[in-house]
Amino acid sequence: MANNDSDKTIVVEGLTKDYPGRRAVDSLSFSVRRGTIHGFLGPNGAGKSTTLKMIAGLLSATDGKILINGMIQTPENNLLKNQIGLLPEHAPLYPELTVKEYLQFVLKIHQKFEKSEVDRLISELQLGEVSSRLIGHLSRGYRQRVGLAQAMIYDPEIIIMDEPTTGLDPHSVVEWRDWIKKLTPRKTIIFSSHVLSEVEHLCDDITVINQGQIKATGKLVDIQKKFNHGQKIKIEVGVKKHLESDLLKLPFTDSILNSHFDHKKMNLEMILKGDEDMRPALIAWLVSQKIDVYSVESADFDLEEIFMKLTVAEGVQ
Amino acid sequence: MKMIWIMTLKELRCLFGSPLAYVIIGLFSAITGVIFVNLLLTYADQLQVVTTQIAENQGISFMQEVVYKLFANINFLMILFMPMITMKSIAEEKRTHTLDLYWLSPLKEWQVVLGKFFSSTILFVCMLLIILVYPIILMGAGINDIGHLGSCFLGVFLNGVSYIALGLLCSSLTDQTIVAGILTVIGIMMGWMLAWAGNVTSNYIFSEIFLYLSFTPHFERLVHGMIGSNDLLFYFSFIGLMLFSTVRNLERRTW
Repeated sequence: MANNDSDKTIVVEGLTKDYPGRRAVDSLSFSVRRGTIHGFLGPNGAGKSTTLKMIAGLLSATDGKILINGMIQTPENNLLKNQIGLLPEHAPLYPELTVKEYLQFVLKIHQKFEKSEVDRLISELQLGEVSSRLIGHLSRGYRQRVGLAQAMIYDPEIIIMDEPTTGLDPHSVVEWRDWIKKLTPRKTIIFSSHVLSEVEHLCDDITVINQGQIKATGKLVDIQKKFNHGQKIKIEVGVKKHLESDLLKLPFTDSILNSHFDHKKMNLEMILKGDEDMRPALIAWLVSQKIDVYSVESADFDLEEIFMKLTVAEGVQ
Repeated sequence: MKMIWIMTLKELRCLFGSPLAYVIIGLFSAITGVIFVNLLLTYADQLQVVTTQIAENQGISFMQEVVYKLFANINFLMILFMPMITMKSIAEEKRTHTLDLYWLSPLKEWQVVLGKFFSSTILFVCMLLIILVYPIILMGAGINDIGHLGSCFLGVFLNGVSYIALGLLCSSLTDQTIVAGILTVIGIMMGWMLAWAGNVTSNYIFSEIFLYLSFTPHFERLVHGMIGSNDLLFYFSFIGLMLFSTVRNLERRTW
């Protein structure tokens, strides 16, 4: 099976997975561009891990197909085994082995025997000081790093990470972001996370799923544009009694997201109705009310708001 | 073959990297040692009452009173020790999702199962090597029926390896190590009880089937020094069937 679009490393078409009595994944279709970081978002139980396991070749699909570099992915396809690395939420580690023994074992079962690769990765992920220690004696941060080393050691083209930074301290999270960024464009990464700001900072593309179905997929900027229905603005104005309720009575006001006082000024984040720029009308109204206007600026919906729009609407969260 | 060896070495490293292997070997050798000394002292007491010739005329032979009883006791002890070796083997890996590591690699299910089977068998052989000291003591005492002693060891070995194969299957059925252990004990006991069922049933065909499917008659023939191809065929078929079922059970993971 040849894939016409060489830019796409992974193409998922109509992917469905049924478990007894329930459908976990329902006709998912999306693609992952080569050398990019693809964010995979969804609330708990949305079908993220099931989808990632099918892409990794750990589970078979009930229907639909996954193409990796043009080849159909199935648990039996040995040709793709060394092309995908997976770091699940809980890294698959053996507490009785040392870090070095563990990485050597992973390398060997992938039928690769260059021992220098173990030393190189130990150095790259700063595991040198714990390389001779038993994995069972390591902290959560180090264990996750060993898990990442496990997913990278046989040099797969695609690395799938399922919530890799969960439970790490802020310092480690920053380190992880750097490592992940450094992996591209050499590697293609699928990255699932609950930390939306992290996805926003790291990912080029995202896919949002809910209840096993795709809610949005594509470039992050395109999705942000798509969900910019109405106009989100931030205004800084002088203080006036009942300003919020007066603003809500205006015909072009949709809602006020939040407001707070700051040095005798009022900062408001609000959404105006329609696709037209209604800021001149708003400024005219504020001036007519003799309210000082310090700034009125347009703002983008952030990923968290888009995520909430896509998932809360169905009462999931 | 290389992949099986890689798996076996890793399993051995994990087995001997935890205290469990040392506890099993230590307890096994301590308990069998106590039983051996107790059987020797009991036999010596019997000889103080009658001469060796009279004792043998009464059916109180050394092989019967010490060797056979020792290996029968070892066989009984294995119902406790074999599940301890195998119960974690696959169930623990299911619980901690480390099996995924194998399935992401070109390793096949049968290579994983054989690796685990060989490592558990090597640990069991370590246990048997320690109790090899008993025949050495016996030879020092003038008992030099090496062939019979070898047959006893073969009986214990084949029974133990069969229990390991059964234990691996039970361990692949669950992700709870305790449940895997209990299932193995139940499986071994059922294997024993088939002999009882074969002895009490009046139907000849059922009796023969039950007796063939039970571990006990095959084991008893071996510890009495009778090595028959029929018995070896039973053990090899049983081990093969258990390992094949384990592989098939692991293949179900992708369904």
